[in-house]
Amino acid sequence: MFIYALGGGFGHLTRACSLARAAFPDIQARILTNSPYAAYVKSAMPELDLVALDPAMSLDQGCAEALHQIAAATADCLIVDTFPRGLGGELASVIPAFAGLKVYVQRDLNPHYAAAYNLNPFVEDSYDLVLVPGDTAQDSLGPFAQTVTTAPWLIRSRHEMPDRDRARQLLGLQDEKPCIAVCATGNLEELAWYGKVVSRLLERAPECDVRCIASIRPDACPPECWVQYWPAMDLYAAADVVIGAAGYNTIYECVACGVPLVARAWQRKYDRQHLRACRAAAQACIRIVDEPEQAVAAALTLCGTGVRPALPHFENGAPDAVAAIKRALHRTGTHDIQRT
Amino acid sequence: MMPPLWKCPRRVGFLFPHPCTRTTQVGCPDCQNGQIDDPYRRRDRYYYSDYDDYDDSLIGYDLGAAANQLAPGFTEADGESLVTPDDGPGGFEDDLSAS
Repeated sequence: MFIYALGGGFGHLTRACSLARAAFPDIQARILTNSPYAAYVKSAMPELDLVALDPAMSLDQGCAEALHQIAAATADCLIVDTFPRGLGGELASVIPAFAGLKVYVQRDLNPHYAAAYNLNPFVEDSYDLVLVPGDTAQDSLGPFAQTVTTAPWLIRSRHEMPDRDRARQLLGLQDEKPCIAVCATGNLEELAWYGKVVSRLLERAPECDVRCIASIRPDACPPECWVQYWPAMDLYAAADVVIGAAGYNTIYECVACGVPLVARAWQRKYDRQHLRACRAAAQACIRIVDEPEQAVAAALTLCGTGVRPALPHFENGAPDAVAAIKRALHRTGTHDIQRT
Repeated sequence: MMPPLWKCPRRVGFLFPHPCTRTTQVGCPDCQNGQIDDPYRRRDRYYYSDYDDYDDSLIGYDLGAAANQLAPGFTEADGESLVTPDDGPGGFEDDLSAS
């Protein structure tokens, strides 16, 4: 199967990796990404088949290359993440004509966009299967007759998670002090915000260990606090509080791991991080902040609430999504499944 | 200035150690311009082979109780205000780095 996962940041790529890992080895998946973190992800999971476009590619180049890669893959199943028409609209004429199974992965989407491009009838008419990986929204798209809702897709299932001791080792923690993990994902220009948070934490919380999990070290983060590691979810067993964005993966990973999250909801063109954070806050311990000082204050409050218990059991929706894809492949008589 | 055909002899890579092979130390984020001999010596590599079993009594740890005090006064109708303002239909499908 071919997973179209264009889009900035980690989110689209990580969700695609979650699905590809769950599909392996029954289904071989190729992922198309233009994430600036693609090389980072590839080095962590070299077994994944990633086709990484240059993030600096122009819109026209990127769209043309995406179409070329889809054609070259000759997959029996095309999976499109978040953007039913493609991030540049390049799939609008391709999807209806694609002969294999067409699957749309429905993450939250700006309702202005859905309305402006009439996405509801497009998805309903063009896709054989719509997978909703936990991120339900009723105000922009669907539900559709072909919708299958699963738990959020996670890069790790429960049995794959490192235990607390291992996570502490990976974070370089020596003492039994509370650990505040600052997870600096998103756009490069947002790194400075996380750097300020780390800097303030070091000033105000000497009783805590502070770690900044980031592919690129924010300027204000001392090298000894920087942990260059992906996926960050591996480290959450050792964190007493996480400070991060309110993107898909950070929110659902923290909820799954039962770690309190101080969430900075960044504005995006298509994703509504604030909406996701508010919904998650109804079920889990999430504080929404804007300024670094607010993040520090919230983290210190949450840090003092007691010792975290061990990782809870949690559900990864990716295997269920793969099962739905297999059923659909079986129904449509395509033969993308390679059994070992 | 590094000699011609010089290759860095260090091993780098937090997750998967491998020869560095950079042709200069200048601007290197691993050894920080040649100041660190073994950038990842103090860190354990990405490897684990055993997993913990947790007592059943620990299952169901519910952070939601704390969230009861945090529930924001927020409705579905507020959702449209939470995305970057657009310029009409022309403001979409024009940026491959968007999310």
